[in-house]
Amino acid sequence: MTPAATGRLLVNRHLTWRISGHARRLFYVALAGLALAVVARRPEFVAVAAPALVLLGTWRGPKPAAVQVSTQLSAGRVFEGEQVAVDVVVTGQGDSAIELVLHPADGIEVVRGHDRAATSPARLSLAVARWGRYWPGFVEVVVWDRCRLFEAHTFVALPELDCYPLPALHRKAVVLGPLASRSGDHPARTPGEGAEFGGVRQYVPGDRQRSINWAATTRRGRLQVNTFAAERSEDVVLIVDATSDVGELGSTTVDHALRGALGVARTYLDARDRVGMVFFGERMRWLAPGLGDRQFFRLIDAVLAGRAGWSSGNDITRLPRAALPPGAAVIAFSPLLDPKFVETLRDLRQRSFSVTVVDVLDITPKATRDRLERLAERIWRLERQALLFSLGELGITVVRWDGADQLTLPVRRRTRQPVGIRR
Amino acid sequence: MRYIVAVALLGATCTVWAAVPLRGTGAPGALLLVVAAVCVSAGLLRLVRKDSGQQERYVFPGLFGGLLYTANDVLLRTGWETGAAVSVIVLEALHPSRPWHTGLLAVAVACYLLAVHQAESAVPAAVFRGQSRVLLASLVLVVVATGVAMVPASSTQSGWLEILAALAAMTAGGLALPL
Repeated sequence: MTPAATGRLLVNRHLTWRISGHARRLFYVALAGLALAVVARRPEFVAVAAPALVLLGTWRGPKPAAVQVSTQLSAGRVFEGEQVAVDVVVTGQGDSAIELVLHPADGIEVVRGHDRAATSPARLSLAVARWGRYWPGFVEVVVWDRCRLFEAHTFVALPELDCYPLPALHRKAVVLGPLASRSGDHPARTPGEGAEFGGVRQYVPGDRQRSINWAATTRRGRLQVNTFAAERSEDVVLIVDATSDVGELGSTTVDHALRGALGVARTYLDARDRVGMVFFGERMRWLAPGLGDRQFFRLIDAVLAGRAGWSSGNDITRLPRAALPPGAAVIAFSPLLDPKFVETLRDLRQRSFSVTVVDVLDITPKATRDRLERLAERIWRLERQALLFSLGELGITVVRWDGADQLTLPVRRRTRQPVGIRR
Repeated sequence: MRYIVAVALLGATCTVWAAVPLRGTGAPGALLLVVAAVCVSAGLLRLVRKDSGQQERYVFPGLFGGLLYTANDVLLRTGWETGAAVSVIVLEALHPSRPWHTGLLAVAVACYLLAVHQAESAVPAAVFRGQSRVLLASLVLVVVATGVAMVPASSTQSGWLEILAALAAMTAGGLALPL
């Protein structure tokens, strides 16, 4: 296997020819026709055997000993639900006919009507439904001789494919904590050189002429200037709770948490904020806050790398200081099922972090007719209410999100409007 | 999908053509008709299932599920089309001699097998252009063999001479083909 510079994989495959099912059928029909002709002494049954025998007579046609197969994915990284084209080129088959069949691996779906081809070059398609790092499957190359009496099969594995969680729709960057002194997109309470209008005050030497408010100056008889709010950035730390993963595959709590976290990360990174992420799973891992598109893809790569082993909680409840810059806004995505994670949230609040929890649990225990099970379900609901109440008492806002709606809606009420600036 | 329809039509045509008239063939005729019909139907089902792709399998399917999986495996792995073609030919042999009828059946069976092969693979039908000479020669040989069979036989050597003549014609035709 030779990886080319363009990501195209070129392989050379030796062919092992074997009798095709078509030839087998022709053989049996010819045999039946000839046998009946001889046994029943009826020459017309030779006519039944004739087409099959003539077709079988072409068995010594030319057959290539090897073919070269090159495969290339149209993209090595896709988001959930996107389609990937697989370009396949087969050379060296001569006059033989070829057939390409795409065999997807688990978690990969073929696109109906685009999973087979009989030409070279050909473009097949596959779709990835759930995030993860995949080996997408293989392409089966079937080579037929001229009359299709012999066939050769060879298999070529496809290159690795990364599927990113589809970020949730989230448009409003919420200011949750104190803003840092770096310039950003959030209007701060202090005056500065931003675009948000702050107020009008009297001109003092040193003020820029272009900020003079002529209407106010005419009205008051003295020079007046406009003031603006400073624009600052925020540090946001997203916590993904992967200690519990419940729900149907593709819409589990971890799926919702990752999609929501990436949607929020996208929004804050677009607003020039620094975003970090903490993965709270079997092993705690974190990425220090960073800026820009590169940080977004770094977050996604960290998500893909840490998929395995997220099944049980760890013993750490106190998040390390390196993962949490002072004054950072913390947004946690969790089903709130793991007591250790709840303890971590309490610890964060006690350390004066502004904490918002997005509850991603969208399923509840099913009520049955059994009295004990109904009682257990009721107790579970009461415990859950008590948990949410206790978090609220600590000043932790908990909002529910089922993974389907836009994430802006539950978080919107936390939005802080800029206030007037006085000097 | 259109090739599967073609397979259905050709399979039904072959079966009906070989069975008519059913009177006079007795119980073996009825049995072969049932076998041919079952094989054609199962072959169609196999092609449709093959076209619809692989289904998800459970590790512990249960009794009913296990039976379904076994039936599915039997359906996909059995050569139903071979059974259909052979039973149709034997069914035709149960009737009294009717060479032109058998000749047309030979053409229909050949078309049925080609259609089955076409439906199994994604290779376009244009590939058959490369086989046009072979197919044409087959047709000529069918006509020759049928014609030979229609020649009135001598009383003592009934059948043998005609069979040999048909085989000789076929061999000569095969050797003359530019393969």
